[in-house]
Amino acid sequence: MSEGFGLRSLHPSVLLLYYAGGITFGMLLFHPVLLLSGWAACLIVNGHLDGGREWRSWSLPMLGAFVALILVNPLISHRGRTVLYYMGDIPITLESVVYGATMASSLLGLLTLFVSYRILMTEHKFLFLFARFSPKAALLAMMAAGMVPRLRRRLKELMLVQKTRGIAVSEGTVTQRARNGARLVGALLSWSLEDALQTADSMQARGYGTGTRSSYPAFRFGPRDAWTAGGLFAAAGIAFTLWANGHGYLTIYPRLESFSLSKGDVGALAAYLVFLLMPLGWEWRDRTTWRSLNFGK
Amino acid sequence: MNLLRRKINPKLLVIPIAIIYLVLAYVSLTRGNALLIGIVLVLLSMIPFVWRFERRQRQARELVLIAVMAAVATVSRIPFAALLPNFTPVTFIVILSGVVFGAEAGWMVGAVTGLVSNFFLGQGPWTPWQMFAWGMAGFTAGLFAHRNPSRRRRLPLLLFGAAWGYLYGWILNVTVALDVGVREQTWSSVLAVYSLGLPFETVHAAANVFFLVVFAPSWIKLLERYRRKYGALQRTDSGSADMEGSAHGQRTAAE
Repeated sequence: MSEGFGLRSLHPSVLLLYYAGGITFGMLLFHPVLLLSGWAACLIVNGHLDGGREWRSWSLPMLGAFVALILVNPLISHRGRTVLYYMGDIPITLESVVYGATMASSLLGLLTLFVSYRILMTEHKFLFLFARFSPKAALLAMMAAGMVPRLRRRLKELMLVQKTRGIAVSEGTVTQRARNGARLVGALLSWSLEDALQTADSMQARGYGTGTRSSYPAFRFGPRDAWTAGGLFAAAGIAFTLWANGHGYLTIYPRLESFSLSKGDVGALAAYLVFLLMPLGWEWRDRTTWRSLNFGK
Repeated sequence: MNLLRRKINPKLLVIPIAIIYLVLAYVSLTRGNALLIGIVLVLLSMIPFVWRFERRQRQARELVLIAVMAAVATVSRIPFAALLPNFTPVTFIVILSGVVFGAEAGWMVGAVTGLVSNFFLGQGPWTPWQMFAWGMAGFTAGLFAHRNPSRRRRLPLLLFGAAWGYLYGWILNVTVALDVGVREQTWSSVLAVYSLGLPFETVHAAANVFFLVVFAPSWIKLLERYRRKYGALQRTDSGSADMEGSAHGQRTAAE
C-alpha cells in the first residue's frame, strides 16, 4: 500500500512518539490483563497494515520466546508464598509462574509492536529523524545501509567464482567451510575497500564538508500530525498519571493479589488502548474516503 | 509548526527526554520493575560516542572506510548461514576495525553494524543492545591493541576475542538478568540466568577465537595497508583526545 495512506502518511516524529510511548507503557504497566489487551491492540494495528502477514512470519520465534520465559522463570525464581508443588526439592510458586507470564506478555506485546514498527518506520523515515540529531552518524548509517545490497551481490558473485577454485562453504569439514567463508569475506573486504576509495574521492570532489549539509525534506508536519500528536500526548498523560498514582500493575510478591481491575487500572487500560489504537483513525478515515471516491455515494 | 521546528534545535530535546526517562526508570525500579532502566542506560551510553563523532570535521574517506567495514561486517554472516548458528565473523571484523583504526572508529563500526544489520533482519528491542555490545567490542579492541603492537599477536587477541564472545551474550541478556537480580536480590539467580545462555556464547567465543587465530595477522596487514592508502585516518584513530598529539607523532614516525 502507498506511503501517503492512513497510518503510513503520519510524520516520522509522530510515529516516533507513538512507538516510544508504546514501548514505555509496555514496560511500565505490569499487569497481564493490561499487557495482553495491549498486545491485542497491536495485533489489530498489524491486521490493518498488511493483514497480519508480517506478524505471522515472526510469530514462531515470538511464541518460542513467550513459552521459554513462562517456563524458565519458575525454575529460576523461588520467591512467593504459595507453593504449587515441589519438583524434587525445588519449590514452584504460583507467584513466580504469574510473574513469568506477566513478563512474557510484556515481551510479546513489545515484539508485536515492533512488527508494525518495521512496516511503518521505514529506513527512510528513521534516517530522516536520526539525521536531525546526528547528521554525520546518520550519513554513515545511510552509506553502510546502501552498501549492503551491493556487497551482498558481490559476495554471491565471489562465491560463484571461487567455487571453481574449490573454495566453497557448502562442502568439506566444518573447519574447512569456516575457513573458506572467511576467505570469501576477506576477498569481499579488499574489493570493497578499493572501490570505496573512489566513492570517497568522488564525494570530496563534489564538495563534501565544504558547508553545512543540506537535506531533502521529504516529510511535512501537517494538521493531521498535529492532531495525532496532541491525542497521543493526552492519552499518554492520562495513562502516566494513573501509573504514577500506583495503578496499572499487579502486586505479585510476596503474595499474589487478585487479578480483578480497580477503577484506576481500568482507566490506565483505557488510556493505553486509546494510545495504541488512535492512529488507526486515519486508516479508517482514508479507507472510507477511498471507497466513497471509487464506488460513489 | 514548520517555523517552530526550524527554530528549535532537536539536539537540545535529548536532555529533557533523557532526564524524564531516567526518573521514570528509577521510579519503576523502586517498584521492583527493572525493565526500563537497562534500555535507558544503554541509550544514554551512546550519546558521548555519537557526540564526539559529530563534533569533529570528518573527511569523506574516514566516513566511507567506516561504512565499508560496517557493511562488510553486516553481510559477512551470509556465507555462514548454513553453518552453526551464532558462528559468524561479525564480532571478529568489529574487533579488527578497532585494533587497526582505533577505539573511536571501532565503536562506530560496531554500532553502525548493529543498526544496519537490523535494517535487513528486522529491528527489535535488541537493536540498542547489539549496537552497544558491538560498539564496546570495537572500542575496547582499540584501547587494547591499537597502540600496542605486542598485543596484536595471536595469543592476546585470541583471549580478547574469547572474552567478547561471552561478554556480547551477557550484555544482550542484561534485561532478563537485571529483572531476576532485582527480584531475587541474589547473585546465584543472575548466574542461573546467564548459565542458560552459555552454549550460545561458547559458540560465539569459539567463532571469534577461530577467526582471530586463523585470519587476524593477514587481515590486520590488509587493513593496515588500506589505512595508509586512505591516509585520512589520523583523526579517526585517536582513542583519547589528550593523547592525540603525541600519538600522532608516534604514528607518523612508525610509518
